[in-house]
Amino acid sequence: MKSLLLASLFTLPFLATQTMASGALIPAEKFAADPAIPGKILGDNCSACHGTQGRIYDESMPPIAGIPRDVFIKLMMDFKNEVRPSIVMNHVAKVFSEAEIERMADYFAAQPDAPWSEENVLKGGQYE
Amino acid sequence: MNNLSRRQLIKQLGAAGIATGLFGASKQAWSKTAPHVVIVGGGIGGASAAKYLRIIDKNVKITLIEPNKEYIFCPGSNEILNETATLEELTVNYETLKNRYAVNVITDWADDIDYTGKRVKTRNSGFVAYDKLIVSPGPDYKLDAVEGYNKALAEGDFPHAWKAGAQTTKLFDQMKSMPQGGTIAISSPPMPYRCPPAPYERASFMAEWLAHHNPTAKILILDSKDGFTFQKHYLDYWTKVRGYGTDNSMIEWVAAKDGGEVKQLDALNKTLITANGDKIKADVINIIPNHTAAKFAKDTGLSQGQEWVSIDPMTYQSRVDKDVYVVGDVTESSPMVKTGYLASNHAKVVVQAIVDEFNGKAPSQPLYTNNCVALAGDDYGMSITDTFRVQNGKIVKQYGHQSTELDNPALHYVRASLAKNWQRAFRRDIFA
Repeated sequence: MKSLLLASLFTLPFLATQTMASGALIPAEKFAADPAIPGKILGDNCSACHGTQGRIYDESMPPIAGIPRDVFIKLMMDFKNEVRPSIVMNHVAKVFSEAEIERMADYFAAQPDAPWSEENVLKGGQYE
Repeated sequence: MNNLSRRQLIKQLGAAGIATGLFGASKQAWSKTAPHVVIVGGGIGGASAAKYLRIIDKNVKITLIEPNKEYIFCPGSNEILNETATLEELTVNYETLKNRYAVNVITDWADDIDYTGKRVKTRNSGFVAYDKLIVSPGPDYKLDAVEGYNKALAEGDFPHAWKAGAQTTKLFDQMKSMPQGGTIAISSPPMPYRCPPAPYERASFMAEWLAHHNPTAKILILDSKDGFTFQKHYLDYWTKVRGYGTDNSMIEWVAAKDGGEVKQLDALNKTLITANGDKIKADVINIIPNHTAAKFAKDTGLSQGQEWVSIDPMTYQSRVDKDVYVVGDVTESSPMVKTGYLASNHAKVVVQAIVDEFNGKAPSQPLYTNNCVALAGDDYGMSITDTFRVQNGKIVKQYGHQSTELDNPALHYVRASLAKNWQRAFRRDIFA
């Protein structure tokens, strides 16, 4: 039975694997031997929804710049563990290890709590 | 040395550019030793690279080479077809990159790379020397994969509209002027192509418009695949609101296994010929073309004779030259799909790797997400959450999830709002 299942898995066309509704989660711990991913690289994956550096303030998805470290960690752990229900964030959060969530928390806690679009990048601001 | 000097740039760009601080912070001219990062292509990948590079490095010179003065966002462009967006809303330009992010924008075609001399050959602006080059030219379309289809037809009466712009408007106008009860045939290509759910979103939005203005019209999706992203949602939505599966269905989908693959266009008779020889005459024909790497990637040898450009997924460095990085749809990044979301995330990893190298540091471990959205109607949204890691030089799909819930109108509505929110926020993330 097991070999039958395996066989059918391997004969699935490539296309099917690309379009299937949902794949199994490989827990973040399986990647623990790899070098640590910096908080900035992790956190910059959030920008399409939460704005550059988490600094968008006029959309329904909330800003996360300047969020207190412990608040961010609790939120993300609750999303990850499905304690706090959400339509998207449960699936976003469950890929990260606790250590990664902590590094993201450090990154966002360090961002100025103001719209990035108001900053003059040329004149320095935070980049000085 | 053919390095584009500050003086040459002043000549090229004019005093107005300098007055607005075009090439450098007001307080500082670029030092003679400032490294020069050149970016070819001002789409989502290239523009993301320019902005995110400036955020992490104030001292590097950045030049973007892009032939168009404006860019029309593809994400959100199906909305032209149900009149919930206009091309104007989707159009951005390079002024913010110039003025706030001190990016020198050259409006020109990049034609070639001189790897030995480390410079890009432009069509009209001479050579541009680089220390690091980021290439983001997107895909090209293999129109002739459907026999009889070609560029002249695409720009004429058979728009593919797979790059937002005049063809999108043309397709909408064709739908508008179609007789009552007319037929639209959409040919959906094999993977890989940009934004996998988009052909079905397109059909859905056309159906939404037709339901109000031409309720007896039909949409026929002829597919080169046997399945598609968000299929469960689309089929459920079409069943509930468009009569899918009945004789009166507004939408019909023909899978490849049922002979859906389009082989030939008979333009004169407005007819598509499928793999099993069926001839389908339609009032509007929309062939979404097969994709391949952009011509620039092929002409410069970056694709090494392959369909797509092979990269090192740790940094998106090309396999051809260590100072050249390639991002976005043009890359061989499977099991990632081709989306703007991923292109922007490739770009962020590239610029971090480049700055790390300038600072004598090893590249950081990357992570790439594709947390994206699509719509089945103005009141029905869906979301996808994909995460990719790199292990032993290979891209590993850590997780892939598509929203599953059916029969929950409130949730579908919230997800539709989320999708629209995402489109606005993403445009601003890249271009504001």
